[in-house]
Amino acid sequence: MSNNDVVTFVTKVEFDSESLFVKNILAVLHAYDFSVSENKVKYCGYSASVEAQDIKMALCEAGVPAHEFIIHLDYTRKWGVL
Amino acid sequence: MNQFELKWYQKEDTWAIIIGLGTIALFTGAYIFGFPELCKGMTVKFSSWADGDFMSAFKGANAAAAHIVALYAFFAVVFTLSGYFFRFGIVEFLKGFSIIFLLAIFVNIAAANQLMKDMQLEAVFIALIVGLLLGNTVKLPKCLNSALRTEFYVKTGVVFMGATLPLTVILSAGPIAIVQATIVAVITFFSIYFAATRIFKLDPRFGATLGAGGSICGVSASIAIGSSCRARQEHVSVAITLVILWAVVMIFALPFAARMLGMTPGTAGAWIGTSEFADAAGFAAVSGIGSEAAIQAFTLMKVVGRDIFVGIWAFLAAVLSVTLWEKTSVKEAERVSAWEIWKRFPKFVIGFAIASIFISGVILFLQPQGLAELYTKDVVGTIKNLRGWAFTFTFLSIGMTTRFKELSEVGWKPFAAFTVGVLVNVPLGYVLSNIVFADFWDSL
Repeated sequence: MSNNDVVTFVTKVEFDSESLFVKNILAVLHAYDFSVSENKVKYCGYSASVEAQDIKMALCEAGVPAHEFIIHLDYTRKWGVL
Repeated sequence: MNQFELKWYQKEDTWAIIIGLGTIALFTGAYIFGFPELCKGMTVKFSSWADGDFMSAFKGANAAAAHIVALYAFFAVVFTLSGYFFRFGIVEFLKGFSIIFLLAIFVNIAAANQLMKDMQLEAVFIALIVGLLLGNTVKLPKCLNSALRTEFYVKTGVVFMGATLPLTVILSAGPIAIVQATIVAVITFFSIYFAATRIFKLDPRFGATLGAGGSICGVSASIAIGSSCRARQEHVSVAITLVILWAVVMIFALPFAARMLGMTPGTAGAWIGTSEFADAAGFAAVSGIGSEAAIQAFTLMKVVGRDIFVGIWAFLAAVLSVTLWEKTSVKEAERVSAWEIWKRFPKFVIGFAIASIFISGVILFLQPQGLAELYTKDVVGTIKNLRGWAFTFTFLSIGMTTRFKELSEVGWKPFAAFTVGVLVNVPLGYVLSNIVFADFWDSL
């Protein structure tokens, strides 16, 4: 058996546009090459290469409290997986 | 495409519901307005044959060329239409589906052979063996890629299944199925989790993902729980690989063991529903029993008893992940939305429930007019036949897409932890199905 992953993933970081930590969070997300979109009430950052716990650790190390953001992770089975 | 951006009409569950319920409504309408031929003309069933005379398989009225063409046209149209919304090339899909349909015809003709029947080699096993042989030894044409959609076919089959399972049975058996499935799921989950984290010192997120795969609903649960507790990609891949390996083993082992142990169809179906790891693999295993009671017991146990709770498990895993495993208080922890429960809920189950309610209502309505029996024979009988074909496409897809050399490498520790779960789950499922709740499952 080879070491192929049988799933792909997308990590999504969501936070309020009113958050006091907007600048810190955006700086971390940009440093990790997240694509960021914005609407009236919130920002969303997406990445298909940075794992959820890694970005959480980076945000916490940048001084952002955990309750300031929500991280969603979605795995999707690759083609043909039962 | 980014999973967060998928619209409702681009999801398999949506199309399984549309196809299943749309077909049921169309057939019922045709029956009520005096066109029962519409559904009867789509029933395809081959006659028994022997001694190399395979043309005898086409003798019955239901094996006429017109029926086969109508069946092909029906599935080709509905699946290709959905394929348009899934955004895969519809010409490629149509080519690939045509190959699968031809293989399904071959499999069903082979299964109608007297020798195969004497050997109790049901269509499901022939489909799996043909699929596994082709998928693992031959380079398959590229057009098959978009048409080999195991999950989509099985979800469509489950919605059809709802039409063949009376609401009264779901209501009376559902609570027992939930109790039995919950007992087994909780005990198996914690057996795997504790073996993984305490004995083999694996990461708790990995342990939870392995536990979910072995106890709730296989690959879907590994993905749901792996996502909600933020397990690593390699850990989710290992959990899924173990689910697939054990699920394929159980497809053959469980029906064989059920026969050897002399289990009745109802108890065998309940056992397979409790102890098989994935929906598609479970339907394959229970089809090997060759009884409608077994399929009904399996569906109640797997779909009603296990699948519908995956969202709650995912929510609990998400809460544990940001509190206990990170040693953080609830106040300081990252927020977890209860929306997780709905997000992970298998939506095709709604189609299954509506199908059962709808058909049961129509039968109740037709009973005073003495038409219920005929409706059951013509409409429900045809839907049952379509269900059988959808499952045959599923079994062929399982076989052709299970490519052992493409699975992830698994270390001995996760393998051992998962196997602890198998050793708990299978005997416990047997005891509950065949001893504790045996009277109940026998009465189905």
